[in-house]
Amino acid sequence: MSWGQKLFTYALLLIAAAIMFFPIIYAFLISFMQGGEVLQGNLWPEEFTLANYINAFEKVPLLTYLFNSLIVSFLIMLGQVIFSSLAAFAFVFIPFKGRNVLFFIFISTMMIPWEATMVPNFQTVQMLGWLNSYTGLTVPFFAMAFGTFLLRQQFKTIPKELYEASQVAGISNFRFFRSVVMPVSKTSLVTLGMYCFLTAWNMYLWPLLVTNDEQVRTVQIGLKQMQSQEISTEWGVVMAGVVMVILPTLLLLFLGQKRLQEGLTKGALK
Amino acid sequence: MKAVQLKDIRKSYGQNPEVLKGINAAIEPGEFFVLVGPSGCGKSTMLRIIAGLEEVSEGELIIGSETANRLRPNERDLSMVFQNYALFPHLTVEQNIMFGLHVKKIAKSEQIKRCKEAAEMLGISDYLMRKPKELSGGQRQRVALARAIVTHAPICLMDEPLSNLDAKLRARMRSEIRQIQRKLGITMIYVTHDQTEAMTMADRMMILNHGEVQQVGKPLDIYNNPQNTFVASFIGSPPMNLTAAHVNKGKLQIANKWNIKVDGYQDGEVIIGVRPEAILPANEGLPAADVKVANVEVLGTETLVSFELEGNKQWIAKWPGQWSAEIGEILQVSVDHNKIELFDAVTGERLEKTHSKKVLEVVL
Repeated sequence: MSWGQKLFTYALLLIAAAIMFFPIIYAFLISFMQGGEVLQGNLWPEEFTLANYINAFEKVPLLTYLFNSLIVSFLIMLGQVIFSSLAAFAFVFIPFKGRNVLFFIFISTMMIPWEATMVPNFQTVQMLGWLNSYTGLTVPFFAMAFGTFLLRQQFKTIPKELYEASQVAGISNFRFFRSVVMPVSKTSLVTLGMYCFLTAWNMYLWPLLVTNDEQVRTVQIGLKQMQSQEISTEWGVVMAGVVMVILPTLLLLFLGQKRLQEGLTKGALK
Repeated sequence: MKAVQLKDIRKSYGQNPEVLKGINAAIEPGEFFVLVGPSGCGKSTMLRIIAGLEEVSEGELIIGSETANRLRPNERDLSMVFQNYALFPHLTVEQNIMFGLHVKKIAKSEQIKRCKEAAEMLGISDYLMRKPKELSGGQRQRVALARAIVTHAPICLMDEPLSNLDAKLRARMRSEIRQIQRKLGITMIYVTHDQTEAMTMADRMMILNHGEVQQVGKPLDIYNNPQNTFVASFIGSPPMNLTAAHVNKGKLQIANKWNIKVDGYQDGEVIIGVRPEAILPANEGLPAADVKVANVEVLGTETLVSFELEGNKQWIAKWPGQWSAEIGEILQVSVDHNKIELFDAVTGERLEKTHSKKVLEVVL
């Protein structure tokens, strides 16, 4: 590539990036602005102040919410990875009658929007007495067709001979799953884990339905609370909250990305 | 060391036609037994049935002295080497070799001792800490062999273990595997589609085609006395020349070129088989026929000459030494009469003479 071409490419990339990032950067800037500045249409804060952050923590129990979100997202991630990988293992390695039919039925649940099953799910959780608890927030999300589908595709790339060699050696199914399938599929597992965590982190409707106790509510609801109930016009405070919510996500992405690259370059298969 | 017996083994998948149509064989303890045949003949299925990776549809499989039809793979006391080696990519060579030993309740120190022994035997001691992807094809093959050896199983199954290697390495591994098998005295059941491997390695071999046993026996017996036209064309390189001919009043007529007086065969259509080395350049003793050279391949120690017999039908002759012949040149060739095989024109089965003494006389 010549210098001119390079310059052009990078300029284009910079502009595209600026457009993509504008909402986040602007939210970040607003969080440092004082009272009426947003309404005046300022793009850059006149003076950087941390007052909004202090405010945000004082007005709503943001730390509790953050902690709750972390717990809930982590549990959902763990649950989904465990259940999906076990289900995918059965679909790939254990032959049984009607395996494919069952798999397609399983996959077809992806076509049912989650909202459609919300009411029965809510009733179930209510009857079990799981309202206002981590169990109610997490358990309904443990079994997901998407994760099973993703991991099944990954497991299918594992040579059948590895399974057969283990059978000849007398390795049990579970041990094969644990000591061969899981390590070999590390990359896919990390990807799925991150996806689950982020989806769970961004959940809004379900936590709103099954919780009304501040002690177990998640951070997305906290944000909404900030915006609508208590401090409706103080955008600076809301944005400070938003930034606080984004941070763990970004952190996770960075960490996960490093693991992901590691997994890719190490190359489990030739 | 254990024997393996196959009694009328049949295998079919669902409603589909049978893949194995009644296989019978007795594999002796400590024997190197080769299953050979073209792809799709059922040889791999046979091996997987012995390993317990496939179920028997009908018949009886006996390993040692017990019926093994219902035993799980690990209860059959055998080891297996796969075509693509089946090494665990995330484990080091050492971990790969020792993989599964703990299940057999072998002490850690014993595991390490066996691993060292096997690695030394196969010359991979320097690579024990490497991952499989850092090894060449030949080294991976050795790791796979080492993994089979450390189990000390009395029976070892191999499914085309050399087909992913280049020709030179394959020749070396062939002799290495054979030597290890002799040293350890294990019963080896080896699947291949390569007749050279079968000929050079086997104590005895079984030739399969379309799920049926064509012939079982020692390599040289099979080479010298093929039971039917399939075996005749499959074993030997280049293959045996086969041509339709007919016997008429004690005379064998081949392509209007040779008229051979035969004794002890009934009149009728036959297929004759002549090994390339049984076709000789004409010399004093033997009467010759004129043929047109179609192709010449000089291999250094020997020369392959293809010539037209009649129409498009070509025969190949293999002569020792280096021969120079022009394409289209007319050569005089003879056939060693004692080495002609006759097969039934319809069934392809070998024809035995009604008299015991073979008398062939050429009348040109």
